[in-house]
Amino acid sequence: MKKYFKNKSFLFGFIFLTFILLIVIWGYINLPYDINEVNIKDKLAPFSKEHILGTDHLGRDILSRIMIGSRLSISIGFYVVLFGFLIGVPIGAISGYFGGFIDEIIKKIIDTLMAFPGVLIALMLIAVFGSTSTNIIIALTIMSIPRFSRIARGGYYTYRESPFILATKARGASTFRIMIIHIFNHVYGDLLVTASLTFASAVLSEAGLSYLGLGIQPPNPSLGKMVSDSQAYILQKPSYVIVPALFIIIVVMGFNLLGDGINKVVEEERENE
Amino acid sequence: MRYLYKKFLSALLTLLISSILTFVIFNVLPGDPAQVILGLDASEAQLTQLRESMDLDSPALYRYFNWLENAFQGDLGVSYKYQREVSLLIADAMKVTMQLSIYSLLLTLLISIPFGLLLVSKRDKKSFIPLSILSQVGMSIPSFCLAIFLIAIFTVQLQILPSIGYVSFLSDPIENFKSLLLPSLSIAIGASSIVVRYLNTSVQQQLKKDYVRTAYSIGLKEKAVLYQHVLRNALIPVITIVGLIVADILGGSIIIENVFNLPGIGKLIKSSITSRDLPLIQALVLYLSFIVIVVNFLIDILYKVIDPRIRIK
Repeated sequence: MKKYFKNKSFLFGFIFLTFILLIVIWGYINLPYDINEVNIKDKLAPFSKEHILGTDHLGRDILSRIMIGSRLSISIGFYVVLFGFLIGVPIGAISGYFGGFIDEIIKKIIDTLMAFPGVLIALMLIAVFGSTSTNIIIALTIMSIPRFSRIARGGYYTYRESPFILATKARGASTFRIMIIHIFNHVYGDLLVTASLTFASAVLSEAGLSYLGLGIQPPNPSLGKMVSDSQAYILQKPSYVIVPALFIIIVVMGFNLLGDGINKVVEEERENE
Repeated sequence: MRYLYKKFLSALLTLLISSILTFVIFNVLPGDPAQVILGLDASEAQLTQLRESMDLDSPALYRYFNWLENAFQGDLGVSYKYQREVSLLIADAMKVTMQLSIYSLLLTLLISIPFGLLLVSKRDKKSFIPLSILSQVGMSIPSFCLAIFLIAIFTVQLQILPSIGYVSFLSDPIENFKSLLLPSLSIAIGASSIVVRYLNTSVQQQLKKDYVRTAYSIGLKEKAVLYQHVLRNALIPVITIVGLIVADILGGSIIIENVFNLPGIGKLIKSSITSRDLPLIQALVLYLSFIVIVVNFLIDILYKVIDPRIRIK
């Protein structure tokens, strides 16, 4: 772990994400206000002791809405990465390890999916199935699968004929064992980087969809929707726009930095080998 | 020639796969498309009528080939909401999106190349850190947030650029440029940050190569090594990224057109989704993937022109 924290990108990413996690956990333990409690008399209130981040155009407490909004963003990102990993990695591993005809087809499908603008796939699925949280997760997972597959494919393809794998084969290890223990040990670093960057882009895409009104639906708060609700009040109360925007940036940047940091460490280790 | 031929076939194949994917998602998975379009409160008679007009009772495979054949002839069906031919709707919207994309791409190159070079030349200096933080922020900020901040500054405070609406190039070229400047800037800043990062990584990788050591050892100055040798090699992988950026820019324009109320493809996509206009969405998706594939094909050719070493394996 120490070598990771020595890397500045990783360290800052870690600090950003810890900050967000603390806010989310705080929301679980003690949510300051009911997120849908409307109080028109108190609308667009500035930062104060009662409302730490002020109130929105309906007098709802912004901090509470940020807490729940970040929780939703992070959990959507988490499921997207989890399912993308669980589906994408085996596909890529099989494709890279066995090669041949299946590999050609899988490679082609991966390339096609990668060439699509990500938001478009998500929009397409949401158009057909409607915008519920589950559908957003499904749509963004489909976007993330090819990323994992591509990295896994590359790794398994490189290592399948390397001396240490041939030696393990000669010792009689089963194909299954070679794939999930021996090669995986060498590719999980790259997969971790992909996971981190995919997390960032999932949060970004969810925010974009919610901004368009096609993502998380009210009454659930979402950071993207908060930005679109608040943009009309940018002159009256700039902080109302800046706060949710800042939270999106912190989450996205946190994961981007974390991914960068892991990438650097993995590359250095590879060079030392 | 063989390289071209192979790339062309591969592009065709990709197009075929994406047409199948699009068709499957819109026609096979959701059960009854007629129900999706008309909503839950539609009467049985309306549903039957729509199913007949969409030819939904024929087998899916037959409908797919039919759709593909029509699409090849430029007939993408009729939109439910607008009651107009989809191809005409797309042609109108495309004019706006095309301009937005071109402006965005130009701005991206205009920002990213000087900035990338600056970053590379400062790679061992103290000012590298704030510069790289800047590019990290540019990559992490959602385009729509950026758009809102730009509107707040340039439209509301300085009052020099419009924030809403589109003026066509033919009626007033200057107003046209003004109306597209903020939207394309919102897209270009994020895209540039990605290009800058790739350029930087690519240069760092080249610097470790033997030819760089040789160049230094024959007495060349830092600048000569960097600009005459390293940069040429480093730019090659960056070109691939420009291909990916085109997909990014198109994706970004979907959101940005809605922020600035520009009547382009993105606006059309959003309204077709909210009105569940399936024939329109299906055509839009096919059309956009077609553009992305063609651009990537062109990039492959460009690649070959720039680096003659590339051969098919």
